[in-house]
Amino acid sequence: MKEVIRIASTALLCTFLASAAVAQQAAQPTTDRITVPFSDPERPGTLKVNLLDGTVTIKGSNRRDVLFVADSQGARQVLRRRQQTEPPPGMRRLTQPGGFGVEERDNEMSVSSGFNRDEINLEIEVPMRTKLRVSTVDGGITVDSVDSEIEINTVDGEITLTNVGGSVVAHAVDGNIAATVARVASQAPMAFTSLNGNIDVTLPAAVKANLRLRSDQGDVFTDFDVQVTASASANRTQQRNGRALRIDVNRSIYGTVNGGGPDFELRTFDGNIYVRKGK
Amino acid sequence: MENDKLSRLLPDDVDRREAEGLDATWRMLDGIDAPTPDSDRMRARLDAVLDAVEHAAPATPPRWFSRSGADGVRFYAMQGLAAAAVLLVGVAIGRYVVPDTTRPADSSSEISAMRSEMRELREMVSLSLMQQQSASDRLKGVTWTGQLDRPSGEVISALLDALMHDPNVNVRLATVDALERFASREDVRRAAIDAVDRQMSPLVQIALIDFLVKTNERQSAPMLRRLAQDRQVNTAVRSRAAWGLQQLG
Repeated sequence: MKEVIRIASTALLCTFLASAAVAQQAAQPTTDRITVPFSDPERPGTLKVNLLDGTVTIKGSNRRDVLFVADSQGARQVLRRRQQTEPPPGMRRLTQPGGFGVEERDNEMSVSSGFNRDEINLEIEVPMRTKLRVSTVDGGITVDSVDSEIEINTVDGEITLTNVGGSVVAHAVDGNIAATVARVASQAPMAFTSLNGNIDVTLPAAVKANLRLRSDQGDVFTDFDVQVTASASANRTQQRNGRALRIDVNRSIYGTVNGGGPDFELRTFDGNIYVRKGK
Repeated sequence: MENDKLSRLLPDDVDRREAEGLDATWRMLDGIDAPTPDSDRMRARLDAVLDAVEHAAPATPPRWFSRSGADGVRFYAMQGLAAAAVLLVGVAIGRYVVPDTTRPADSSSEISAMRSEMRELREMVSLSLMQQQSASDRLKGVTWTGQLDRPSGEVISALLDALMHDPNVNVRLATVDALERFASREDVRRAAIDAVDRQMSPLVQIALIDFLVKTNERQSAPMLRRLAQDRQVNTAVRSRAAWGLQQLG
């Protein structure tokens, strides 16, 4: 079923873009644009993006529907370099769509790169309150001016968040995470974690939070006035089988900012952590 | 037939073999079994939560918690209920913290009844938060379990379930921290050993290795040895496993 939908959406997109291309032959053929409405624009929708290879840029604006601009220019250049076939006399090469599918159901929009040959770079404009769930394997993710629940995952890409609000849960295995959180949802926990990347988070100066900071092989820097509380687990010595538990492994720093609040976890294995005071 | 479908979709200048290769990869991806949730345990947990709800608020219509009903109404009803529960907890805390001085002194049984009710409510809120769609809510549910003074087995099995099956790395990572206080339980330590192998995320694997070293779990040694020698495993994880072996040895 999934496959049918995937093929159908790709085919549909092909048809759509082919007709668009025929309709405006003189237009710039490097970008593909489509807009998709939410079924109930009155309440915040959810946007799920799943890409294997390619970057995702999401921008919040005052619109009610979602605009997708698929820029597969880079991909086409790669394709051109690889395939040197000259067009037969009297014929020209038509541009091919990047190939991605969009599905909307119950105010939840899902985007996936299906059966595509190369990377696809998606620029997406969403209503500001759209909830985001974005994951890529090999491509950066950028989010600007979105105010909601933001959930981001990437393996090899970088995560860049600017002027976001609400709550953020972000994980990058090998990339850096840079986030400027301008507004914080009250009582919402956040987490920024990476294996090999730096974590650089700017929070509002007045933020109330309990910070849990940990870098196994790097350093932790901040210009916040962090009141370091005793490490929750380091003070505990439970007895088990007559032996004391080992307690020497935990390197986490537990601290409160502005009196404390929800837990914000910043953790990286091999990078540095920066917690900056914003405006 | 499949190939025909494929070739119709393909523009002519595409390398067919590569396209078929990709298509085969897609098919193989479809063939991978998604981890199926342990429905018996989920059912047990659901029943426990339903019981708690029936005791706390008999007016609530049944079957509000069905996870399959991801439709908006039920979702919002659940959110509303969680909010109401939080309110109740707040009221309970308020009454508990500021004792009513006009009340006769023999109300200690009442207080203890209220205390256990409050505990049940808190537990219910944590459990229902851990079932939400939003990762931030699930994180909240996991960290809230740290404030329960005597959590039931339901809470522990929900945490173990999240450790194995939660789609979000950060939620799984928080679960490892939350499970630390239950490290004296044999089943928790055994689940942690199992989870190291089944984890896709190196960061969670490292956290689990730390957990096992911290609890001095010698039964994890064979697993750590295997991990340390497996060339397919992330190098940071391998060296952590080797370090763990050293610590346990």
